[in-house]
Amino acid sequence: MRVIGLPLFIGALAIAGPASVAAGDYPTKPLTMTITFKPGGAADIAGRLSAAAAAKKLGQPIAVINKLGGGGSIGFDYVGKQKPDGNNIGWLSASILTTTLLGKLPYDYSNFDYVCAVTFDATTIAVKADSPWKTLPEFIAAAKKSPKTIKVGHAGTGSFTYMVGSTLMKSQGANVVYVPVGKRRLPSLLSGEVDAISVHPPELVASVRSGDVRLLALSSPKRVEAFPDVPTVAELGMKIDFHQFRGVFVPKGTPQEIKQKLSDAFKEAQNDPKLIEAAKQRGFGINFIGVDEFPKYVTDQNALIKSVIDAQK
Amino acid sequence: MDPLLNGLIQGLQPFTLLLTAVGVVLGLVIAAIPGLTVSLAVVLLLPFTFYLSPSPALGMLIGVFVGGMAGGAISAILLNIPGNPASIITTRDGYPMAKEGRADVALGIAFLSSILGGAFSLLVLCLIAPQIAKFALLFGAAEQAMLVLLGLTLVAGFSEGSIIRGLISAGLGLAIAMIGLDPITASMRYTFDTVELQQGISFIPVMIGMFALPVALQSLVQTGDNSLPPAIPVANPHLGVRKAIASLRQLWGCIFRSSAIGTTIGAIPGTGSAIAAILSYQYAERLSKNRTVEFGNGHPEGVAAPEAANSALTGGALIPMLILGIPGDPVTAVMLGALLIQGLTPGFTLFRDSSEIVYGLFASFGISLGLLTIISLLGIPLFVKVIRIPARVLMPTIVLFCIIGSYALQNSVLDVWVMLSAGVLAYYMQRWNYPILPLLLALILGKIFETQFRMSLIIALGDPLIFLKKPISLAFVVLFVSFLAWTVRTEFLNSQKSKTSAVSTT
Repeated sequence: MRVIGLPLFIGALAIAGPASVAAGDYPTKPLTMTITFKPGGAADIAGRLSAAAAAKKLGQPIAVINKLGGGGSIGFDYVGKQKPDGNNIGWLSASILTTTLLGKLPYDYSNFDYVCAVTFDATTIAVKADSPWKTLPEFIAAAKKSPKTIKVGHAGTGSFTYMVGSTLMKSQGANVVYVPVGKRRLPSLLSGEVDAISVHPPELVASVRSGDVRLLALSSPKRVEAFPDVPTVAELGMKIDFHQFRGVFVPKGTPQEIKQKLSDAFKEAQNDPKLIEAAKQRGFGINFIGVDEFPKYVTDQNALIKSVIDAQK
Repeated sequence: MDPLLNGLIQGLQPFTLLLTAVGVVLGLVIAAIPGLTVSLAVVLLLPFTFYLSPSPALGMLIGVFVGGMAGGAISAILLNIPGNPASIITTRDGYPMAKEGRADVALGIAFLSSILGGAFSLLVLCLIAPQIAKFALLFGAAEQAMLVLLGLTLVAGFSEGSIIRGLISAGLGLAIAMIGLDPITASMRYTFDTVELQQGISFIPVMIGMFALPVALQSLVQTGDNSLPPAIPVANPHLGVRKAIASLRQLWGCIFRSSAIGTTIGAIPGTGSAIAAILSYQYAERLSKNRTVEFGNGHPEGVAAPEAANSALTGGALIPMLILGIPGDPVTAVMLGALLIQGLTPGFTLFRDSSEIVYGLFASFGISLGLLTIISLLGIPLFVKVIRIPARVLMPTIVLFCIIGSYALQNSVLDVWVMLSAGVLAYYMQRWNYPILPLLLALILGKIFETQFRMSLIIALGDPLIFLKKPISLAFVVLFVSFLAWTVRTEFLNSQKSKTSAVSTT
């Protein structure tokens, strides 16, 4: 895919003439969508399948390229610098807010235009199947009883799942030890190096199905079809909506008409059987928010995440 | 029906067989081109796997995996440019063999070791995968830290006679490994407020640049000479294969040990192929009975050990993926995705409930090895022709592939600059007699060591004795200390010897 992206990119340079096409005819040529996640992962699959569904409606193919690194900042930065003509779009996640807030990009979230949210990943606190804690309240009670002894593994300091997990713990007054186990989240949980992990559910689909791991709760407002029995934190009475929304963004200054067309096209994805099946098998959720509401939602989420980061300083 | 037979029938379906063969060839070719990695081959194929049923999809992926592990040796031996990190060590003895005009023998040994290493890991996978998976889980942060420390002792072995120069080179590698986000606290280190530097300097562009560019620069400087240094033509390539097969008898023990190391390391998630090659080379050097050639000067075991180990890794890496649902590298990560999207769940139950898929995968693995044997051995005469391509054609092609390869890695222009700078650095290091392998070793292992070491301390709530309290970690500490003592003793004896010989000549 990445190698294919190169000739495509050169091709696009050759075609792009000075005459800007009227938004009414959009789209007149194939689109390129940048995904900041590694190919094959659940976040990438969600983006690719959504793009495939949207492409049908748009009548133009959408070529997907993966630009990794810097917690997504490299890809976000790249899309932000493209022409705002709707031909270069990006697959975003809430990380677009964390990377800008953490200073990984020299500007803030308002440097992009937001089109729509399509899918989401909750964050979950997971324990081993033979762990004594059956529910999140039990886990929190144990952490309160013996502070600084229960170890919670996560992807890395500053990562999204770390922020959600630590915010949740802090809001409930639980004092735990955070271990940045990185990619070895699941092995470190199974081997007992850490007592729990704070992760996105898709990476635990296999171990939940095989009965090795138990999810205590999800941080999203909706439950996820792959784990029908796992409650949301809201159901448990914890007032937190802090989850990884995924969707489409474009360079700042893209005409409203184009954003509307993109939003309408990606709306089709929520009814796409392939995306629905993938969500069920891979453990992510589908929750469409269109162009009329999404920019406001992003602003609200940005304020929430900013307060979390400021509190951690 | 017998599940293994059933699996074999699955694997031998014409369509699956065809895709497996495509995978092997693609893996072999892509891995042989400097800068294009096995992960890249998988990424290229990924979109196709969405539209395939599990057997052909997994067959193609395992084919790429198997072919890729062998392919890296081709450029390592013929051009002294490792095709992927797993074959860095292969350059050390493979290239000297090629220079002596024994490129065909070296390639033969590399391929046969690869195939045997793969077969060994397949056997382990079929017989004792669940036990290995449980063992792999015992590898926590402390064990990883000490394992990597053990690998770092090889800096001494790669120092080409001068330990001081080796240490300077390794220090440079560690300094480069520092760049980027701190692995524990995520604070910035030497990033100079740039976005691109936050993720650190990626290892692969440095590797490509350091090996490939000096060769190209050298040919620029040497005007008039149109061919590569090893322009000795191979008389009869088929004879080389026969010689390689004949030499197997002496390599048996080395291949077996290296395969065991490779399979074990592969089963430990997140450890990587380079360390498997490094450790098996270390053992081969210590335990070799054949002392007619020195290691580093074209010793056949120096080729056999890393190649057997990095292929054995393939079967090893499948173990945690199939049993625990933990992918150890990009290829198994994609395979895991392919299984999940079909509604299959890795775990002990997978073997019981979906045995046809599992054994189909094993069969495809075996078939890939069979195809690799035919393709690679028949291909040797073709591969060795690369040496005879005139430098004015070969060198620009290599540089071009290096640029494309470093860019394609993560679509980042910075990586191209890193590759070019690393190349210039390596050119001058070689001119001033500084070895480059310690730098690369420190760059690969330094970051892993730092991360796992500090993590061990967090997990132990600050108790440094954790490294001695856990049995596997303790074993590594003992090995580390004895390797160090052995190196110091050898150095001391050598300096004594040179002193006495200096005295006797005067």
